[in-house]
Amino acid sequence: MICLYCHGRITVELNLLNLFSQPKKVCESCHLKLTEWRRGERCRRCRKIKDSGEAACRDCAFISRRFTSVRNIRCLLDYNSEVKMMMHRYKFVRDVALAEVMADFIDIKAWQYDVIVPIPVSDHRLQERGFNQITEVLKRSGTAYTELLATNKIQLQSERTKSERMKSDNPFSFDAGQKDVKILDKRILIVDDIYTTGITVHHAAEIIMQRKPAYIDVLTFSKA
Amino acid sequence: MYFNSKGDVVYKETGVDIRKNICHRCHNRDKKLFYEFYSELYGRDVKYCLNCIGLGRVDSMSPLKGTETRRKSEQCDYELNFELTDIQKEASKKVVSAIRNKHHLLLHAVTGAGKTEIIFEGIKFARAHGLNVAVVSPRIDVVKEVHLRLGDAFRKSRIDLMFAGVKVKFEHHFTVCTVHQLYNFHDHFDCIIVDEYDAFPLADDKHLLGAIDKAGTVDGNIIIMTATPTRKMVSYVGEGNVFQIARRYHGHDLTVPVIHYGNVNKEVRRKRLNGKLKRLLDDITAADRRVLVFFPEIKMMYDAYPLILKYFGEAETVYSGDEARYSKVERMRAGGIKILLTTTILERGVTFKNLDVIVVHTEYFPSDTLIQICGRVGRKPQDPTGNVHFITLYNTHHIQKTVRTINAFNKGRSVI
Repeated sequence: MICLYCHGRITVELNLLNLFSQPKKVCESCHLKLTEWRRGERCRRCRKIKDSGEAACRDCAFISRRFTSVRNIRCLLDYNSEVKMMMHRYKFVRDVALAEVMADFIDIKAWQYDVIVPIPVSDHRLQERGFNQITEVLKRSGTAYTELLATNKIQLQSERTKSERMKSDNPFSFDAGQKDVKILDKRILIVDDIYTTGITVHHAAEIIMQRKPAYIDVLTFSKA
Repeated sequence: MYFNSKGDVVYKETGVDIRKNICHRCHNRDKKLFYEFYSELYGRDVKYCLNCIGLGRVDSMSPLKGTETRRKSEQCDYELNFELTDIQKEASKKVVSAIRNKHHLLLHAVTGAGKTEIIFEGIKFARAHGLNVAVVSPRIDVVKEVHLRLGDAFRKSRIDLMFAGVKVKFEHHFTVCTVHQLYNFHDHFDCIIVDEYDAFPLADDKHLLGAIDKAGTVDGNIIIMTATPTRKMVSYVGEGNVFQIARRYHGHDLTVPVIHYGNVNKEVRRKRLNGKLKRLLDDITAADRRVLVFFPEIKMMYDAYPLILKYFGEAETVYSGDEARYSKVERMRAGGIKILLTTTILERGVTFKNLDVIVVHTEYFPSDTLIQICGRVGRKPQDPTGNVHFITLYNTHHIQKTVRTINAFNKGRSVI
């Protein structure tokens, strides 16, 4: 086995505990680097590192004014320099193998949610990248998902400034092909790759809210 | 040619051969270093190479494109504000004759022999004859340093610089880059000069070693520069093509390490600083010199760090993954740091004034690393000696070999 992050060899000593479990995708030292959380006081809700003197998280305050907030926000990894590099390699260098690495961190149980909704990727982006960066991870983690939403968004969120993001219209709509999916009183999980200001996932939540789910949670791979 | 996605020549229809498991860019054939997945967009399996993913993805779906370049001669004059020593001049002539007669050369020079200045004349000769020249090294620190010095000397030339993420590109006639970047070249360089040939990761990566051959032209030559050659390197260049420089450019002897015995780690675990280490550090700080303390492991370094801070008030640590690594080295150079704890990443390519070196748990280190570490001290003519201390649990073959090699250098004997 090789580590899919540093491509070094992984040597695992077999014992009774790991004999029947799936082998790890990354080596121990890469695992440590990827799971490190940067120091600093964080927002309890979205895990953003607060600026000094920032009493309540400004992003969350903005979101709660503008949108109906979702129930819970969870992120698997901090956006430390190593994760940043991994995301870059995954999304822009198109190193699809890293989807397996991220899938390793996903811990959604089948009974927790009724419908799992990945944030959609526009056709234009899909052509350019060759894969959907969110479903590719969910597929490898063995999570069943429903592509409930569609998008007309062309520009990348990371290419926009914060104020541009805040002003932008909702780019999402229900996918025409998924009309019969029951949302009413269901437990929904929205999955995205990186949570920065929270605009994207709340836009998505806004659409789903129209059909009155029980609640909506958010899971992201990384918190910027 | 050099490979880039905007190139106008299609070198191969697909970058990776899906059935034969070959990456046409880095010549990787290791089945483990490919990743295959089903692409919904293309509706079929896609395979790509993991070995050279750092330079952009080469896969079984898209062609590998490149750009052909034209050779161009240029008058490459350089400025040097001091005169080479006799032995440097002799070595310089060897380099020129190796390039003229197109044979490989191994330049076996002690640390601090002034290797970079020796290749100037060779580069000038090669460029005047329209040959493409690359100066490469496996270490980013070395690449940066060499680029600075070449840029200072060859003021008028346009030198390409490439390493992880940084690209200054002209026409690839005169390139300074890491060895990894050579994956992007095919049959391009007539003369490749490899500095620190034995450094990690080049020494035990067969793909990288292959990249040097592949980037060179068929009748091109490779000049290897190292302070610690192996038999393998000698047989690669051929028995007669070795040139040794056993003297530093300022003519002083290399410093012979002083060996002390002690178990630093055991005492650190008991929250105590080893008495010898403390006394050595005391003497060095009292003499207003600077010191590099080498540790075999990052963890060991971090365990000892608070103890050293407690006794000496100021100290810094640096290791490979450290984000502030380059700024700390800069501060050390400027004199802002007196005691710098480090792992082997600073074994090469760094020069500090008034430096002493302490190696703890020397029994962990191989001899080529130790020779490089000893070579850190006394690199400036104003301070030509410096002190090297090895603190070790027990004597090893590698320590003995280090002392033997340095003594042999000082007496001018061959050591390979």
